[in-house]
Amino acid sequence: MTLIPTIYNADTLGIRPDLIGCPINNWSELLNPEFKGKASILDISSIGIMDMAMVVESMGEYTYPDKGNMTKAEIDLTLGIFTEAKKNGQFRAFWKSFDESVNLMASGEVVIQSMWSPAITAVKSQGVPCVYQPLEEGYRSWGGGLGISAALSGLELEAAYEYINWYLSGWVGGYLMRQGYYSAVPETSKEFMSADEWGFWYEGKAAAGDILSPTGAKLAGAGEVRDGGAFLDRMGSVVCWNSVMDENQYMVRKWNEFIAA
Amino acid sequence: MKKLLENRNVTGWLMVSPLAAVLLVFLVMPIVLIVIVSFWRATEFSIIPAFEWDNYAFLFGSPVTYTVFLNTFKYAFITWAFTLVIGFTVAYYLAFHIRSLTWQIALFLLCTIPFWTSNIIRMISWIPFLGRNGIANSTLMSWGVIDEPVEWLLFSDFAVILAFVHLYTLFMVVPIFNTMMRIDKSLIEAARDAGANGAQILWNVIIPLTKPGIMIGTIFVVTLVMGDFITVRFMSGSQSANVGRLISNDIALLQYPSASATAIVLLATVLITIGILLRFVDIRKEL
Repeated sequence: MTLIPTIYNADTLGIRPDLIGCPINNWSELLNPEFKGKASILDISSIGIMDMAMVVESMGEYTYPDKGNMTKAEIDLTLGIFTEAKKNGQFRAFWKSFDESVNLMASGEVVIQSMWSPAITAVKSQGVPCVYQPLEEGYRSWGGGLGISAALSGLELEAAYEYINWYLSGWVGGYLMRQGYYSAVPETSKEFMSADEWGFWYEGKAAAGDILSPTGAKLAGAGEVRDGGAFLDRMGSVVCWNSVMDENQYMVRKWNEFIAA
Repeated sequence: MKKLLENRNVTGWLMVSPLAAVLLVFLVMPIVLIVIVSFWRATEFSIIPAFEWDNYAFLFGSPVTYTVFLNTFKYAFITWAFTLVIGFTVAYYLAFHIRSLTWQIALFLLCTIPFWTSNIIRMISWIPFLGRNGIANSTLMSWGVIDEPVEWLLFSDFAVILAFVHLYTLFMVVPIFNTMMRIDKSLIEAARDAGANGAQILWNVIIPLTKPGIMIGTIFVVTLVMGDFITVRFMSGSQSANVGRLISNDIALLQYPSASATAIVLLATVLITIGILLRFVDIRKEL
């Protein structure tokens, strides 16, 4: 299957700086006993396992040759550590859809969790302080794109390409970038963002005025810098990419065991 | 032709045929399809027609299955116990302590008002109520009963059972109320004349006569709880699983054959449970 890339981002942990007193610098803080009962991780096996791997490596338990393609033994090890943490009551809840993560963070049920970019903006737009914390070990990245069915031909195929061309022509990219994602074609998105927004979201510069979300809520004031900084700083610190591993079915089964434990 | 239509058998079959057709197409055929798919093989993104027992072998060989089924039964049993007590009490009050029929109907309708809202909304609205900074904890703290928020109110088994009881008690009230209304009042008078006190009347007269209603309510509640995975997921914060979660996880990852196998096992389990329950009471008397 081939795709044309449209969107990607570097993911990390989100925190409530007002409810956590000390600086957070490592992935291993997710399993810090100080946050017992106040942590969360996402309940999607293919993404969650990678976050777990980042935490395990940060704890010094194991070094993965390839987090995106783990062996059965590595999967067992990773899920074993987390199952133990779960039984010890480390996690308040797990989330499956991004609005659940927003609710958990905004209500203060959880102070540290894996999060996605738009969730951070959603929490901030409610007036709750929330930081997408850059961590020493780096980011986990993912990418998405559009694919065309092999069954298309003629007019339908051309229409599909027209759509892809429009999708990458800038408006969509601008909208996505103002939520914190990166468009696959930043140059076209630049035309749909104000200079201040471009400076804030892409170049990591301090905002000149208020930065608004695509729906109009205020996300950052003048002088604030995007969490993590410029595009090169963030994407340059990516250490693993989401992928479908060879042992996918095994991993899903083990994930079910983790949830049921 | 007229002779044919006058034949009682033919008329009977013709009258039943619309419902039979609907049940055949929308109930029997999908189940047959699920049984067939449960023997197929799957890759990450496609399913391949085959005939192999792998899915069932994995299900019965994995300890997760047993843990999860046990969990499902646990929830069903505890919910059943609570809804029985609450449902019976409410139905008893409605049937025997309210004098006029008008008031009985009015109060009964009052019980059903919560159902005018969606099930999911009623379940989710517990989350802000029971949360760490939610209404329940804030109220308890402002009254000075506790110093710190009570953690186990939400995202725990307590929350799951609470939501289940909240959602499904009415399904126990209705059949029991129905059966109680049919009890001949003169039987109770006779018992009182014979010298029985309130508790004895309850145990020896009312409960045996209400058994069909209790059984119907039980079937409703047990079936609903065993199938409801959304409530378990939201109220436990995805930390508990029941069989429905296993199926929905599989479907989300396009593993249809193993989801089908789990579904068939669940269906068989529920049918067996209901079969056992029906041995205790003859419902046909009620219907």
